[in-house]
Formats: sequence, C-alpha cells, structure tokens
Amino acid sequence: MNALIASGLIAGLRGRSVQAVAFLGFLLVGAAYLTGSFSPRQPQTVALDVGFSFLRITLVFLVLFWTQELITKEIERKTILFTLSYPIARWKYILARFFTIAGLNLCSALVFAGLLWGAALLAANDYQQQFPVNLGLKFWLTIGGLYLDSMIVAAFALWVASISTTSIMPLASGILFAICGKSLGAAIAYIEAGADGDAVLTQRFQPLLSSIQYIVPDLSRLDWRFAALYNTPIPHSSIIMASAMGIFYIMLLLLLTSMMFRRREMF
Amino acid sequence: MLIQKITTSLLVTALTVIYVLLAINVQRLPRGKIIEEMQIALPRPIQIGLAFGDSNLAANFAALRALVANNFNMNAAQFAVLARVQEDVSAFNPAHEDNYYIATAILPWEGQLKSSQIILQRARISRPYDYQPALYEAINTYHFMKDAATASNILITASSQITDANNQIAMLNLAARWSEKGYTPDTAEKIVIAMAKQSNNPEFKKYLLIRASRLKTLQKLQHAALTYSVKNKLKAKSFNDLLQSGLIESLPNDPFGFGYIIDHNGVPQLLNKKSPS
Repeated sequence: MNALIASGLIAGLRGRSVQAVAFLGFLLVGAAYLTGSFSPRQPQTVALDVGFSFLRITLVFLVLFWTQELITKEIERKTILFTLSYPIARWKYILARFFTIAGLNLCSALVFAGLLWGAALLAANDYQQQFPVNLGLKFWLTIGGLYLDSMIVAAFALWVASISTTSIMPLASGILFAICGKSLGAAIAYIEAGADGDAVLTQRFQPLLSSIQYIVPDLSRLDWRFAALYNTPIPHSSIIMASAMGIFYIMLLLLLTSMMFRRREMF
Repeated sequence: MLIQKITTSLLVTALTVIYVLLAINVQRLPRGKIIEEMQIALPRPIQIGLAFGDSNLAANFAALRALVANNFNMNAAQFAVLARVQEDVSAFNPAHEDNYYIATAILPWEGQLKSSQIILQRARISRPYDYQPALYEAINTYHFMKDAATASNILITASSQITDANNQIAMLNLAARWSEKGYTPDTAEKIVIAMAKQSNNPEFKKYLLIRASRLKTLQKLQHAALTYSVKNKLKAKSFNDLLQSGLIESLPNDPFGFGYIIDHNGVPQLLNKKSPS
C-alpha cells in the first residue's frame, strides 16, 4: 500500500492538467490580492474573502484532476490491470489512491494558504482598517474547513470513478456535487427567507431541499471564514459536528467505492 | 512543387491584403452605444451558481459591481437596480463592510431608503462589534422618516450590543438628545449638506433646486459669452450685448435675487450679495 501511495504521489505531480490547475491557483491568489485594492474600507478582508473562495475552487479542481489522473485514466488505459495483478486487495488500492490525493491536496492547501496569508498581509498597504482580519488560528481553521470540503468532493469523485464507464463523468459530476453542496446552505437560507416573496417556489422546494441534505452534505457548514474575516467566535460544537459529518460522509463514500470497485469488471 | 509553393505564397499574400483592408474599414465603423451600468440584477440563485456555489464570492462580485458603478449619470430605475444588487450582497454576506457603507452613502438619498435600512439592519445584527450600521440606520430613520423616537430606540437597542464602552456612551447620549428634542431641521440640513444633493426635507430640497437652476443659468450665460467673443472677436461687456446678439432670450433672472455680473474677462459670474441700487 505504501508503494502504491508513493507511485501515486509521483504520478499526481506529473499530470499536466494538475500542473495547469496549480498554476491557475497561483494566479487566483494574485487576483485575490488585487481585489483588495477595490475596497475602500476593508482591503484585507476582501482580499482574504476572495482568496478563500479561489482557494476552495482551486482545491476542488485539483482533487478532481487527481482523481482523473490516478483512477479514471488508469481504468481507461487498462494500466490498472498491472496494479491489480499484484496480490493487493481492491479496497486497499482505493484507500491508497484516496490517501495519495489527500496528501497531495494537503501540500497544495498549505502552499496556497501560505501565499494567501502573505497576500492578505500585503493587501493592507499603508491603510489600517478599523476591524483587522485574524491571520492566526482562525485563518488556519478556515483552511482546514476548506481542505475537508475538497476531500469530500474527492471521495465523491472517487465513488463516481468506481462505477463510471466514461472518463469525463467523475470530473463533471464532481464539479456539480461541489456546487450543489456549497450552495445548499445559501439555497436553504433563501427559501427559508421566503424566496423574494415567491410562495410557490418556497412550497415546492422546501421539502426537496430538506431531503437533499441527507444525500448531499451541506458543505457551507465547513466554511468558517467569518471567524478569520471578522474575528467573530464560532461555537466549538459547530466545528466538531460539521467536521464529523464530513469525515463520516467520506468514510461512507469510501466504503461504497470499495464495494463497487470490488464488483467491477475491468476486462 | 514550385507551382504549389508560388500558389500558396500568393494565396497567403492575397488573404493578408484582404484582411488588412477589411481591418482598416472595420476600425472606421462607428461603435454601438456602450451598455449602461446597473440595468439588471440577476436572481440570487443564479448569482450563487455563477460563483461556484460560494455565497461569499457572489457577495464580493456584486459588491465590486456596486462599488465601480458610476452613480453620477444613473437614473431612478438604475438606482432601484443598485439597491437590489446591494440587498443581494447583504443577503449573501450581511457583515460586508463596504456594502453597508456604500448603501448608506447613496441609496437613501436616491429614494432607496427601504433597501438601505434592510442592509444596515442586517449589518447591525451580524457586526455586533461595529457601532456604525446602527448609527447610520438611526440617522436615516431620524432624517428621512423624521421619526426621532424610533431613531432613538435604534440607538438604545444597538448600544447594548456594542462592545466598546466609549461608543456605547456616545450612542446613548445621542439617543437621549433626539428623544428630548425630537426632530430638528438644522441637524437634518447638516447631514444633507455633508452627504447628498437630494433631500426628503421639502425646504432644503427647494433650496437645492433653486441653487441648481441658478448654476444652470450661469452655465448658459458663460456659453453665450464665449460664443459672443468668438463671433465678434470682442468680449461682452454687459448682458445687453448678449441679448442684442440673440444669444440669450431675456436678461438673466436670479431666483435668489442676487443677480449676475460680467467680469473684466467678459465671463459671467454669480453675485452672492445684492448690488447697491
């Protein structure tokens, strides 16, 4: 399993699409820094806020492309047959791939977070905003939430890859899943606030959104950026509950993926 | 082989020449009218979708849009759209500092008080450490709604949430003053002068409109004087010169009664006191 993880790490770094996404990530951090200059009163807050958003998008795309590189392409090119011909259980293969993506993603998250930290610090220029951002523990807590968010997307993409017969499916469905999961909180809030007075919309979508939460996790619950942006406290119970929800969802998906992958006919 | 090479070269040359000629002609074509700002406000779910499901990013995109909009040439319908955009920002991220600040600086003065108050209320609740949303909300209530009692209550309620002791005392003092005196026009006038042209105070609005019409007349007179000097190679000495040349229809009438004067450069100026008769 360790050998699988090691080979996966190398393969993950070699992928051209992954390198392109990483480059885009660097550009986005730069763009986040520039957006701060548009703010008349809170340049650091805006730079950090936009930076968190861009960081999340980058991490999600990175894990999706890694899933593409490490699983989908292997199945498509049939190179997976060489790996599976070794005396290794299929569930171990899946776990190894997931941990590889988790390791690569962690490194990326730390690098981008470091850059964003610097960008937020520089965004102030000579202006001392009245309410400073928190670039300490709350900043890293937010990064942790975004990392977990992207790993949930990775687990979902891995599950899709285990059953999909087309290579584009894990990427496309992963993007859709990430958007749905993230916008779920905003959608629920919108419907609960009355959907701009549209009673029909509220009536139609409220039960649907309530049910959907059991299938797609509310990823906005893992977004703790308000703590870093506005230095506000977050109840520990919220952090623990949301993290546990995310971790158990990942475990569930990995179990399903292993089951599906065991039954899959590769020839 | 040679024929093929020559044909290809000729083809490339011909296409290049045609393209350059077309490009020159395209450059001369008049451009269509630039799309005016603040024509539409997208539905919130679409804004969230466009921001990859990230409501904070959607808030920042919309706030940026509101921030860079040129308010000087906007009409009432566009201000209504701006109010909608800023309300959306506030729904996505109620704590957005730029948003509530821009909202209170622009919206209530352009007939969008309701939106401004909604944005400020949300900011007040989500930013308990910040005294300003409550203060602006109270000022708007005081000035635009002429409701000193409600404004005072907003300050009293907000002061209990404020963490800074000095700000808390300042807010309570203001609340007490408003509660005692009720609405006083002199305070309202100061706010109007400081913040905007349009006012809910009928007297001050009338005053501003008269000032605006006075300045407009001055502009017309200056334009006529310039035309006169170009046409006659001579500076106008009095408004009668402009009248006799047909550049103005009648002698200028100042609604304030101070009148106008043509200076030694032949340029009309405002008089700010009555000339001795």
